[in-house]
Amino acid sequence: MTAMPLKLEGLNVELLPERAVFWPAQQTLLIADLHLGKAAAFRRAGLAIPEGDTADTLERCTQIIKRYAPERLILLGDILHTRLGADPQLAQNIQRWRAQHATLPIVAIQGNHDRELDALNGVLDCQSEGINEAGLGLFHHPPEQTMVSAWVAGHWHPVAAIEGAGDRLRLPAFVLTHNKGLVLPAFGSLTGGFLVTQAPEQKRFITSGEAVFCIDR
Amino acid sequence: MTAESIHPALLAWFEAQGWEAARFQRAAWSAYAQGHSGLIHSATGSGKSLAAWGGPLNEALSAQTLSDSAHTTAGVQVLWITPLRALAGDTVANLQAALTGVGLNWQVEKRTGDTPSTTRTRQRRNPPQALVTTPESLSVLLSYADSAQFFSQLKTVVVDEWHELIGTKRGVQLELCLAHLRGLIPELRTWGLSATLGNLNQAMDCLLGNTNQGQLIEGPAGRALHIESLLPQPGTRFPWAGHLGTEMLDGVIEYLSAPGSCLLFTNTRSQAERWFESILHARSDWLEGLALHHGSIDHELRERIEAGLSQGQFRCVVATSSLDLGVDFAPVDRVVQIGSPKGVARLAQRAGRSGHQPGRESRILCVPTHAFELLEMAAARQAWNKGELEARVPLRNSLDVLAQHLVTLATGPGFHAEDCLHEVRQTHAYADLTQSQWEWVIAFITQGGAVLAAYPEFQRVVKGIDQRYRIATRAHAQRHRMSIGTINSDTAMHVRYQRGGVIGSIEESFIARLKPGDVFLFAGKRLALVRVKDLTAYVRHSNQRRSVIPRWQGGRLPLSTALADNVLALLAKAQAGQFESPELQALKPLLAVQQRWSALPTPGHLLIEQTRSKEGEHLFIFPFAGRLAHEGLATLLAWRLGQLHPATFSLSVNDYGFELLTDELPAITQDTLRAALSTENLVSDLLAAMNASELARRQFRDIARIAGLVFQGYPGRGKSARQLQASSGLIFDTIVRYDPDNQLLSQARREVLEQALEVQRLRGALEQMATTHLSIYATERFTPLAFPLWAERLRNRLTTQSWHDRVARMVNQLEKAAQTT
Repeated sequence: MTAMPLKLEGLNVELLPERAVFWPAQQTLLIADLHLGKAAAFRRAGLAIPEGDTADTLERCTQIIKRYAPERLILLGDILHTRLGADPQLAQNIQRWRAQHATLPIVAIQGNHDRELDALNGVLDCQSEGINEAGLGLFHHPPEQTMVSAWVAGHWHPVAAIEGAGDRLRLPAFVLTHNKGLVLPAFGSLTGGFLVTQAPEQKRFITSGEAVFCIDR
Repeated sequence: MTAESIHPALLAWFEAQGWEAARFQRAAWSAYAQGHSGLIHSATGSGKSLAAWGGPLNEALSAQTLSDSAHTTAGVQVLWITPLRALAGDTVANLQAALTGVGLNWQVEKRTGDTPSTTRTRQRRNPPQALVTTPESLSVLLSYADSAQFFSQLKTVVVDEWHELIGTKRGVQLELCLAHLRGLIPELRTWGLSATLGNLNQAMDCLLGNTNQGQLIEGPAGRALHIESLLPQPGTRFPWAGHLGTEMLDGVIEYLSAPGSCLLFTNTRSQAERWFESILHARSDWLEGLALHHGSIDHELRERIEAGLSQGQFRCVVATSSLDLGVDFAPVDRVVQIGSPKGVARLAQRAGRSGHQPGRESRILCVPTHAFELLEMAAARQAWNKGELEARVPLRNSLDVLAQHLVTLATGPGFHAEDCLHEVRQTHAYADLTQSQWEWVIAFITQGGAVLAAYPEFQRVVKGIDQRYRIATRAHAQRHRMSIGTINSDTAMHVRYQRGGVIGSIEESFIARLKPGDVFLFAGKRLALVRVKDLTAYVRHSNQRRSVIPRWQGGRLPLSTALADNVLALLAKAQAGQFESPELQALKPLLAVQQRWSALPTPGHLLIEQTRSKEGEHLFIFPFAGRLAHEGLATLLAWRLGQLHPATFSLSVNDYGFELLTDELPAITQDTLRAALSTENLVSDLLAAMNASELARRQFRDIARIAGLVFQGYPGRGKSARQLQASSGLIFDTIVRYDPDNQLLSQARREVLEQALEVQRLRGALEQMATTHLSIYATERFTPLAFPLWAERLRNRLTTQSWHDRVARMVNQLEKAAQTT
């Protein structure tokens, strides 16, 4: 695993190949867009998608927690794909997972999908809006106005396409704008991607799962 | 049929039209009167429709006379299935004309996806006696609870253009619907209309299912067919590769200058756009007499063009396969085919649009878009003269279509498992459906997965206490009706002027690649994209010269075996110094270059060329097995070579051969090639290779949609629908990972093997290669045969390297490129 160090307005962070960000100064791990319970929501609507995504997403969370031993985990929105009330199994799974990391503070910022995030209050430290932590803005939606401070957000599910030697791949990507705002790739196992193409004042970092590469100069 | 048993009104109408009932028409009427089903095949414009329509008319006229009153029969008597909804309007008019002519008090109406809901509601309450519809709309009709009542008076189903449906999933869907109708009405008669095919008996078996013995009725013998080619001017440099062929424009303009009307067929919509624009540019004085007709153009405009064609308004209509189907219009004076028609039957069908006057032959002028197509034209003539026509192979056991059909029935009257299985097995498509496949499909629609892994929250179809399967909720029923259908197409976006007026529709994937301000060529116009909103692309006129042409999906057929074999036979003759046709004469210099730099491929010699370029090492192999089988061969060979030495290959294929491109090839010797081309473990190696490549994943797009694994959403349901959207690729990956025994995955693999890779043809090619001599040439540059492959640029990839290594290598290359600029 090779992380990519990055400076956001003077703040040092690391882009992790596991589609997460580590913030050493705060010993904090950031991930976005888990979309837990997505396959089950599809099945309720009659689309026969097999189960597996939620367990896999939570298991990968556990792995990065073990690997980087953070003092805090912050989830940048869209933790749940649909209403929790519709899926009692899901609430149980989340609580069981939480119990494995009982001592770790976990902050959850509400995303547009999280219509019943309150139900997880007490399990997670739920925040209905973005927060500012030690000079870094943490949001679900990337802010539309120019921000004074550096920020990190999710929501887009960015992916980037690379080509070369006749080969072509679409990979999850981190998107850095104006050297101060960072959008994370979606962490959930059953999440699609929004293709981000080259643009001025923007750098894309793709992850192969083992290493992070910058594809814009 | 004796004259007495034909109703006088029918004969009188024929007489009034100046027609005489042809022998095949009388044969069809007679068979119908005896309660038979059957298939009528003949050339376009020979009166097939009346051969099928006359039977029901005759019967209804007799009944009307007997009941001795103007009393009309209630309920749908005749169901007329047409493959294209654009054809439904014409069909209604034709059937109506006959009704009026014979004085039968019947209603004929159409019902397609375009029919307004008020009309549809009225039709269900008060149905016409004859209903013209598509396979999809028939399915929708079966999804209503009272469908048995609606069809209770049905006497016959006529399937128009059956040759267009056979071999497709739409055909399978129709087979299932027909089996269901026969279950409701055991004495139902089914009649198909078809162009000439290589497998007519099988086509009839598919249409009629197990229950019927049918009659195959042959129309009048086709007219003589004259195939000629437009040859390049001596001394002109003729392109070795290319798709559009506008280099031949001058010759075509000259041909079009003669008086009379002309149809100019192209193989793709983008080619049609390019030709229309080029002809107009060369002869702006022809503006009034030129028209463009293809599947994306607004259907009202298309109808105007078809009407104009009948009235001889046009000098030339540029068309794609959109005019292959039975649109009824007066024959034109000349037909031009741009590029290879890829098959003999298709060429004959297109040529049949010309010269309907008795005794006149059909003529078609073929315009090559690159040099080697001349060979295909000479080969088409040879194959036609020998009577070698292509077959259309019907599909078997498509579980996705079956799943959709069962949900349709559950949405409608519901079904009982045993009865329904019996009914389904009456079709040709599912005659050997196994019990376990059946159980899997039932589990899939009721439990959302395999028999043992049931998901309690899954809702779609439920079994009632009366043991009938029914749809779970009204919302599910509504969603299912919205997504009935099997035609795969990208979401279509309307193209509309900013100031109003629809021009047509274009695949979303094309529009998605444009930025506002970009100029593109569509419907013969230069349009600049203004903005995209609500599935509509708003455009304005543009005068900018530079423009892009939409590339539509589909339309790339493989060269048929019949044509390919004849091409090789012609090359063998050329090798022996025989250049019998004008096409071969014109190709002589080019074939000489090929021979000088390498060799000619001939039966018994497999030509292999190896070239190094800046891009890497190229390996070209020419088995002449058609582009689909080549795709499989290229994938297989790349995978097997990759086992010797991990690598990433770019694959390029055409109808003559394929190319592998990689950084460094392992040493190619007779032995390595023999091993890599062996038929041993063919299927397992192909499957392994395909897992690495993305073929099965791509094939799954169709399957996921048909089986109801993706929800396409519908207008006006923005957000809630969006929450249920996931790409079929993502779903494929999920199923591969968590439900690897899912039967739809095996179906995707099987479809890739059978259809996408033509595995039978592929195996045949490998068996042939095992006994042929391998002629390996190291060439300094691309030969005339290799060049088109290199230029093809529509590449597949196959890699045996790890994901991470691929990324690292590509990033490395990006960085190198950045340093040199």
